[in-house]
Amino acid sequence: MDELDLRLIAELQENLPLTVAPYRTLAERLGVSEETVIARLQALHASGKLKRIGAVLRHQNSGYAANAMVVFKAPPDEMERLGKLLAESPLVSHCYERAPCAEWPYTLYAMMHGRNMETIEEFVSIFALEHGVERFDILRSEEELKKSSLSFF
Amino acid sequence: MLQERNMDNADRKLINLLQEGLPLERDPYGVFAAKLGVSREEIVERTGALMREGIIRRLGGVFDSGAMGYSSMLVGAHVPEDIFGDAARFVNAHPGVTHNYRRSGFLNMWFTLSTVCDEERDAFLEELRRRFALSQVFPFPRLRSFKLRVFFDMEGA
Repeated sequence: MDELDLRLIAELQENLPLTVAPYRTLAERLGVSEETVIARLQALHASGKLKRIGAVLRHQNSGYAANAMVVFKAPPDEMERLGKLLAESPLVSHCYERAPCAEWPYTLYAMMHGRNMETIEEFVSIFALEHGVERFDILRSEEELKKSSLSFF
Repeated sequence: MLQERNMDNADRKLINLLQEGLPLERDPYGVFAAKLGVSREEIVERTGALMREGIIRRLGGVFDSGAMGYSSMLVGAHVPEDIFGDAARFVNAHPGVTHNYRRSGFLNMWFTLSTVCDEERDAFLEELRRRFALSQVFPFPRLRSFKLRVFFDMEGA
């Protein structure tokens, strides 16, 4: 990556200009041609650095009023099956296996979004009962302390 | 899963297209305009309105932090109530902290910390422990991903 890539990335970390030809507007700001900007964007995308230029929604305002991080203590030999099952639920946006520690035994994490907390609680209690998961916890999002995009360089 | 708003079908379709991403070609909104049957100008106008209303938090580059050389870690901490605000301000001031939530339960602060090296992360967590006398600050490394979805279907409900 060169100086122009870095300046382009810096621009893209802000909001895209609200114009009918946003890449042309970016090109004007950077003092290069629209073709150059598009070629750089395509190269950043091809290298995997730029996933997309798109919209990130504010979940709460888009109708997902209740959010929780749900944690399960999944038996190691059940991890794969339970993880895949959770991943199938439309209520689950992210699902990971994570290392536990002595003070925190949970190993399977799911970010869940629902119309209300009851939707999430009902899903989780049925899931835990059906699959014999004895320890789990629903960590409600009580306050968003920070939410931002990572700034590079 | 929509809140009652003055969003119409074209808005919902537009939000879905914008989440998938703009074509990386000369006339991105022309592509959308053809799909939605509205003009480029109207797309820009609607997008601006959705941003002002707060439905769209950001419209811009979405980067793969791993490909950019960063690694991220989820951290859970037990922070006493009387120092919670100060600790949150300290954590939030780190540019690599992208998400921080107060959550119900024993570990009541959860944040994600992206750093270019493990040493930077460890040093920051050590400083957090020391400064606020916290004994329970735990990094939870990701071992496996089962799902990572950032697309919310606006037409599905």
